[in-house]
Amino acid sequence: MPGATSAFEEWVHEFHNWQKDIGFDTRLLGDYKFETKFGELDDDKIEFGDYAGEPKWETVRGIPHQQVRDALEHLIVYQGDTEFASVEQQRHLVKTAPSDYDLKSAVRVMSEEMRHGWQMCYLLTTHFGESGTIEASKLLKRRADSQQRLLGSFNEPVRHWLDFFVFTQFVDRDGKYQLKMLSRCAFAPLARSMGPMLKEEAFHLGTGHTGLKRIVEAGKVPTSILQKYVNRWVPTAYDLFGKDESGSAEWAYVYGLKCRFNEKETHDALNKKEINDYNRNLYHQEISKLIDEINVKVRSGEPKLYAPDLKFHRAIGRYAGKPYDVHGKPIPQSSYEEYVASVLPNDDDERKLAEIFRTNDWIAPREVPTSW
Amino acid sequence: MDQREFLASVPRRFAATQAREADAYNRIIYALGPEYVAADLPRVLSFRGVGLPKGFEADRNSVHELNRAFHEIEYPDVYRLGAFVGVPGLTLEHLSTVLHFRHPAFPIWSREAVRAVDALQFGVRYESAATSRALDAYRDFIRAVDVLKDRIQYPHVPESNVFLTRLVEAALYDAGLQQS
Repeated sequence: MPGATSAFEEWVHEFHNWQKDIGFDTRLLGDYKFETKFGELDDDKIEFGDYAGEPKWETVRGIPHQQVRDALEHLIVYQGDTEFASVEQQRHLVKTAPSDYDLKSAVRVMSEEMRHGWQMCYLLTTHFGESGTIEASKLLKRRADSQQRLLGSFNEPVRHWLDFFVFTQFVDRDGKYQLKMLSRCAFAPLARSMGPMLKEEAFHLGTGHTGLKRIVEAGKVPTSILQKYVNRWVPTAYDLFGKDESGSAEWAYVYGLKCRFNEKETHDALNKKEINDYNRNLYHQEISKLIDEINVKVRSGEPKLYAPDLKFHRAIGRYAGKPYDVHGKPIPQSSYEEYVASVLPNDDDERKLAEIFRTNDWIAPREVPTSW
Repeated sequence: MDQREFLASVPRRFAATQAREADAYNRIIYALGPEYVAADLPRVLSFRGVGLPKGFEADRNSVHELNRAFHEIEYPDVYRLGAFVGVPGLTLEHLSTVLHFRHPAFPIWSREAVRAVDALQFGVRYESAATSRALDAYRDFIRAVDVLKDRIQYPHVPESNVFLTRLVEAALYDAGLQQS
């Protein structure tokens, strides 16, 4: 009908309002264009689960059962929620970038996170009717600042650039896992969305990893303080993988929606009841290797960094709230609170960092340019 | 050279180029402020040994002109660089290098990368002096890099803090070196 706007076009209008509402300066976007992007499918047949071998679903109408449609919509909503949340968490960092290129990097990360949210909302408004339109609108109404986002990591404040690099290294890395697990989804439009998103995510992860290496190389932030920020964020990333013995992860697999991270590469037997834990352990192995790479730059006399144990400071699953130290050893409940306070960032650490951040030499390489 | 094979080789080729020049690249890109100052130009043009154009003075006026052009330029439009066409001694290597470090979406022009892009059947010809014809060639080069950026699959995009342009350009540079 001439003049009629699609649900997605109406959503785009809400998206621009959200940008204004959170105070994101859209002039920073420069010539960046928001658009939906679709890659190619590796396989046009459903690759795992009860419907394996059947053609992938191109429309929601083609999905045989309502429970499968609901589970799929749920996955897309959760993915979209994280994207807008991370922009809300990071947007203030543009004022304190340690270099012009770091500013460009952060703006690019935020632009692409917005695009990923845009992509998820395109799927919701285009394929899920009124329900999808309502969910897409709700994605722009929740706020990380008010702890309204759906997942724990995305309600935590990203206070400064050290938080940013630790976040992009470890929390965005969970994002890589989620995207790869969805890249073989039985719903073809979601599977096709993942390739471009994963390409973009590689820059975000590289930004985090490179940033941490540069901080350690500069030698101004003691690794004992840096470790506390690793201790802060990594357990939240462990939680993002979901509960142990998760029924919803099992159903997502059975429905063909979300597989294991290394589904096509592994010969490991599938334990449908432990899918989340399986992926979480892969993630822990990966971050341990990345931390080893960063440790190459740690100066002699400074403690090396490590990945906290999977049991430490968890809010979800069998270890939630249980008293384990950063290396996974049980400690008395009576001393747990004091212990946790000692290994997580405190006000004193924040004060020390504020002092260190006053000159830009806390992150390498940084030469102060001479004037005319 | 087959495009699919080249794209699958990007991680290896990017790593090879980084082994040679990551330090030099990082020492420039992380040390720049929001605009060029005169002292930046010799450092930026030290990348790959390009050097300052003969007779060129990195003074306040020339830097002001560069900053003005770069402030107005939008990817992938190269014709804003037309202001520098005909400047004696100025090459496309000079222009694209200072442009890239300000706008990392623009690739660095080099004989090696152009050799590789030509071998991938994109039909880009190498030009050196900064002429109108050279800007046309640079525009064609950018288009070729854009196609490669679009076609590269995510397993072949290594995690890094460089723009995809730099990833592809560094891989092309390595491929071109091997063909020389």
